[in-house]
Amino acid sequence: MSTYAAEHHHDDHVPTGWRRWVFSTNHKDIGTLYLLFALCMLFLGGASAMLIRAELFQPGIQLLHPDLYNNLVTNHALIMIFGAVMPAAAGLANWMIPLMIGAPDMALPRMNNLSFWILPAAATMLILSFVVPFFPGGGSQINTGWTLYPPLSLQVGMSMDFLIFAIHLLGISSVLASINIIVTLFNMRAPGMTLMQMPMFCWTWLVTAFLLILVVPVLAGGVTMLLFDRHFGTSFFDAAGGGDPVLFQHLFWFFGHPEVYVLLLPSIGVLAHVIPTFSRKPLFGYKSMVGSMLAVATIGMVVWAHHQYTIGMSLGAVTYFMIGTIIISIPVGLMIFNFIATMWRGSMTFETPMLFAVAIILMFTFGGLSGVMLAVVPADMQYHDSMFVVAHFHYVLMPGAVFGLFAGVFYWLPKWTGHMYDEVLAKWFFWINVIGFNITFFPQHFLGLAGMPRRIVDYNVMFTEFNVVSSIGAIIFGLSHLLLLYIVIKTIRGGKKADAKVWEGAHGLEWHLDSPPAFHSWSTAPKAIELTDTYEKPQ
Amino acid sequence: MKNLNEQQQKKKNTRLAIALGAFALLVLVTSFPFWQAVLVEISKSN
Ligand code: HEM
Ligand SMILES: [Cu+2]
Repeated sequence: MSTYAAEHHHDDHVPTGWRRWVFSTNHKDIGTLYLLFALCMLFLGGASAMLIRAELFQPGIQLLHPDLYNNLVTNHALIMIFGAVMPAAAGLANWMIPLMIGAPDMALPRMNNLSFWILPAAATMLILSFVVPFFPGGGSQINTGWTLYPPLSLQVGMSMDFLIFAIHLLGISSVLASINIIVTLFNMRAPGMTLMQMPMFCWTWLVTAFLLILVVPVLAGGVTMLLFDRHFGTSFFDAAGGGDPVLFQHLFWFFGHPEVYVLLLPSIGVLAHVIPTFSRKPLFGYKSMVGSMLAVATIGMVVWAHHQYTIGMSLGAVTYFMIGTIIISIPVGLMIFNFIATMWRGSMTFETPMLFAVAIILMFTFGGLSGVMLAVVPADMQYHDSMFVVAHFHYVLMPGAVFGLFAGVFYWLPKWTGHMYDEVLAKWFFWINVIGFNITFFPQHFLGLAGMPRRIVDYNVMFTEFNVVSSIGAIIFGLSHLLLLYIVIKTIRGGKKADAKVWEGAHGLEWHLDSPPAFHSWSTAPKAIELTDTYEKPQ
Repeated sequence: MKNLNEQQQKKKNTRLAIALGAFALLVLVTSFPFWQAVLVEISKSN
């Protein structure tokens, strides 16, 4: 398939060497950088998880000092959330949004460069916060978990300051990237593409970006107040000075709850492309998808205190937060039903992205169900801070965020590299990964219900069996990612040539460009005929 | 979307970006006092 960009190779100046990456203003290169960064962080965060599970393999304290254990739990979560999932989603956004809306690049290419290059600095800070305590005079290790609750976070040594600065940097990066995405989607759509004709992945990122600029500044404010309490004599959170530690919990979860949708929505966007493609049917209920997403985002802003039922809120307040939280399952369920309706009577095939999509629907729904259990106040009094919570959020985050990103990577990898990935190996990866995941996290439900607390290095011998199973699952799950790495490298280096339209059932502007697309694509706007190639109209 | 020339497009983009950035800063600044009020409200026992 010939494309405009391919016909105009003469204006295709590709810079070379390190300058290409460090000074890049090209959305594809920056997308690649984001994705590679996320992959590194996935392995770093995974390594900390493996250490945690190794320690929990047996009761008693074998490998890790309790402080180190807590430090690892903290770092694992922060690295996975801010280092792996969010940058990977931003990488997909950078690569795909301009291709999907027919724009030559992101709206603010230099700011795009800045958003990415803040990340390595932030990651360095984050890693320093982990290692500084090991040096003489480095102070104590961070033992708060990623939620950084005071008063504990006021007592930690200087590593907490590194962490606070890391969060500042990560926040700046996210806000700048979000601004860029919003401006791109509002101002750079191809002439003739209305908002309600945008591909669904663009919609999910539009909502995500708005969520981010609404909540990340609040987190930044919260950790800044922590910093002030620690060093400048304020008492926002310090009861001794008349402050209130619970205030921090509100600030944190006002960010923290919408943050889970930040992690979820881009992957939902990926599914909204993968499922129609491999069902060979248009996406069912485009408008209701947009509507439910807006509902999720809006209601999601006002339910944060379901993370704090045990702090002693008034009965009215907990009732409100409980009802609000349960109501969110309606629009979320609607999205899932739309996906199922899209598959209904489609002529489905199960290439790797679709395998992940189906697995996501099953397992994410499962995580949603334990979420509804946790939303119920009297029940949560029992479940709170137990391994049940850990099981819950891994069942929502792993399918809802990580597997969705995997699906996106397999779906678009041929577009990015121009090579087909190895379908046989990829299917192996899928099965090992998904089975390993379930072996790791399913038993944690039982552990939690039986009373095993989270974030504790040691446990009662009665919890041994399920912990052994969970740790064995973690080995399978963790190692399976080496296969992912191998498949990705193999695809980058070669393989069967991919067509412009990689998947027979795919629709959208991005499939009208070569695979890989030219360095500068859509230098002139797409033709009207290309714009009509969407999932929405009947084929 | 109208066809804008590059100059106009850039200006339009920058303006929206500045507006959004200002909004984010506003959220940051208001978060400080706002939350103390919320806290007082919802921890009142009935
Ligand atoms: C190799 C894969 C993974 C394994 C084996 C794993 C395992 C664990 C373990 C053992 C914990 C600590 C449980 C405890 O509190 O006692 C944990 C916590 C956590 N994980 Fe994972 N995890 C993995 C991947 C991920 C990913 C991809 C994400 C993010 C999307 C994630 C997000 C979290 C979060 C938010 C916590 C809570 C930390 C805290 O509350 O301090 N995990 N995980
Ligand atoms: Cu929540």
